[in-house]
Amino acid sequence: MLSHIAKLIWNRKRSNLLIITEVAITFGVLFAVIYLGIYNYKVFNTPLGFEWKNTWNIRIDTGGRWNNETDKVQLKAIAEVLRTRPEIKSADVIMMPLFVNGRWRSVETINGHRAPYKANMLNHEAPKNLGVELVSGRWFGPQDDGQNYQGVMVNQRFVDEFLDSVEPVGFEFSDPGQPEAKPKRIVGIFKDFRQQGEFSTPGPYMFFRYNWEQGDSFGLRNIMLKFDKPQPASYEKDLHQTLKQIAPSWEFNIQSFKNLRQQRINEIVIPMTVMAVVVAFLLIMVAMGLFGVLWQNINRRIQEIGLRRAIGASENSIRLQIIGELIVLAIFGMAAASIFIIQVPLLNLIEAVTWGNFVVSMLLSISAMLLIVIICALYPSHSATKLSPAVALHYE
Amino acid sequence: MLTLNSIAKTYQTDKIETIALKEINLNIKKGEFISIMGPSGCGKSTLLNIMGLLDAPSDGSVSIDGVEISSYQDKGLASIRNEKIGFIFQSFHLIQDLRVIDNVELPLLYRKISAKQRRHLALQALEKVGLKARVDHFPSQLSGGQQQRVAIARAIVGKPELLLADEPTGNLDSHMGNEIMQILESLHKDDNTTIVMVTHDDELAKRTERVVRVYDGQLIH
Ligand SMILES: Nc1ncnc2c1ncn2[C@@H]1O[C@H](COP(=O)(O)OP(=O)(O)O)[C@@H](O)[C@H]1O
Ligand SMILES: [Mg+2]
Repeated sequence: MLSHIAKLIWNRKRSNLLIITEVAITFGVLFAVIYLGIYNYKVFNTPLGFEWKNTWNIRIDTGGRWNNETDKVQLKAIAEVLRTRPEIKSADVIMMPLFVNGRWRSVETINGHRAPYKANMLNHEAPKNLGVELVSGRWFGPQDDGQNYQGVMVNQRFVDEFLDSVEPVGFEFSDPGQPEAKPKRIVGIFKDFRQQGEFSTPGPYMFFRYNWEQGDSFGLRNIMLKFDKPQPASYEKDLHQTLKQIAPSWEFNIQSFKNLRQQRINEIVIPMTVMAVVVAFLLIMVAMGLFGVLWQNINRRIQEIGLRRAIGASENSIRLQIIGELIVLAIFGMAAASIFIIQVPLLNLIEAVTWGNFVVSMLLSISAMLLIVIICALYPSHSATKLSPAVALHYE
Repeated sequence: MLTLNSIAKTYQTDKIETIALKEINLNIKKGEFISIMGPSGCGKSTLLNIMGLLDAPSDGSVSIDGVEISSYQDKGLASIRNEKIGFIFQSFHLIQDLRVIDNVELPLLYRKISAKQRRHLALQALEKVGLKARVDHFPSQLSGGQQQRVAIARAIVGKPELLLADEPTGNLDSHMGNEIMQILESLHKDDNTTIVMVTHDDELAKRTERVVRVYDGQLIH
């Protein structure tokens, strides 16, 4: 029977090409949808590496460029006043705030790798206060002042990607573009810090330490306040007054991370939902096309089905044969599509595509595709075998 | 070997009810060569389809070798069609995408037979119809008479006891028709195959042992 099916498929290669093409297109769309679904699900469920609950952000607008000499003093004064308030557990500063689209990107050559990473600058108590987890080494701190290196911290992904062959803690590297700068030394490794929130692509990350005395020429414009318990919305006004008393010329925008996080999620989920609806329609269209082609294929063969039954095929053997043929065609179609799909991880066309997700998506897509083909074939082949052989033989 | 017991058949299409057969009683003995004659639309094909288990009667019963076929499910019917009956159609019904040899092997695919044995039997059947030289042709590369000979080879490859032929010469000129008739006659004589043939041709009917006439869905004696 298998060689019979092979012969039929080969001899009907022209009309089968249509089915193979239709399967290949459906499979491509299916794979993309499943891959994106898995990727986003996994990314969303990857730990952020920090705690955002009961934490608020104060965004500072100095009304002009950062004047480091005076502004660093004012920033420190604000932080010190806030720290004295009983409901505030900690007040820290950070350059790129959490849950917003802005980020600091950098590329260096590290340990022979081209090493793109994201970075941030915060005071040395900030990571601990935010619940960042230390994996090895130590937190950076005042003991790094006045040394012949600049103490930095990196996340575990940074180590995994760029420092696979060396002992990461104590590793030093320098930027050939800035020969007069001190080399950076990794003093500690933290688990993760996904500054831009749940949907951001996890990747290498580096902390630079903000030194209250030196300040920074770009300036830090975000203060993060951690409370011992949730604060009412009215607290914002009270806080605003306090801030204005210390720095009357600055403007402040106060928001809880709870809100910022929700805004960030909405920014991504809303367009993603729209896209999902569009893709769902696309998938339905493609699947309907496939159903049409399979239906037509089976319809054209009703006389053949009648003949087979007249010479002794049972209904079951007919259905098995049709489904068997279509599964073989589906495998060809999926193989054809896979030749293109596999180029993505092979050539590293999209950075975020990993082999693990790729294989899982592939397996899921194949199962879904086979299921679609079987379901699409089941109904027409069932109705075709329900005709009496005499009627099927004269079917036009 | 085959008995039709007060067979009736009505076709129900939308609002029209067509009575194709009523009260048919017919007994076909083993080794007989029977022809069925009658005007177009009188129910000959319907009768043959019921004999060949391609269609179920609306009323009455069909027995083969003394067993009533209504006692069989689809699988049982399929194996009777496969093992006991060979069918030949006016329009050949060959599968165009299969070579001659594969068309002839087709009934054997539904039996537990090795590929080698299948090929052997198919070649034997093709030899009987004089087409051994055309095994690798596709049906479209053959004349009508040759195609009908392939169809006969397919019908006899499983060595059925009963051969049913629905106007096997209807699409052929008289010369080719005669060739087909000769093949049927030799199958009858040499292998003692029971044959029921529907025909419009008086000359061919005369060459059979018994002529059954159908008129308006009934047998006339
Ligand atoms: N599948 C069918 N559905 C409805 N009517 C049919 C069907 N098959 C045959 N008939 C009708 O039954 C009658 C007998 O048909 P048939 O047995 O094919 O006649 P014959 O073979 O003698 O020309 C005709 O009136 C025909 O129109
Ligand atoms: Mg007829």
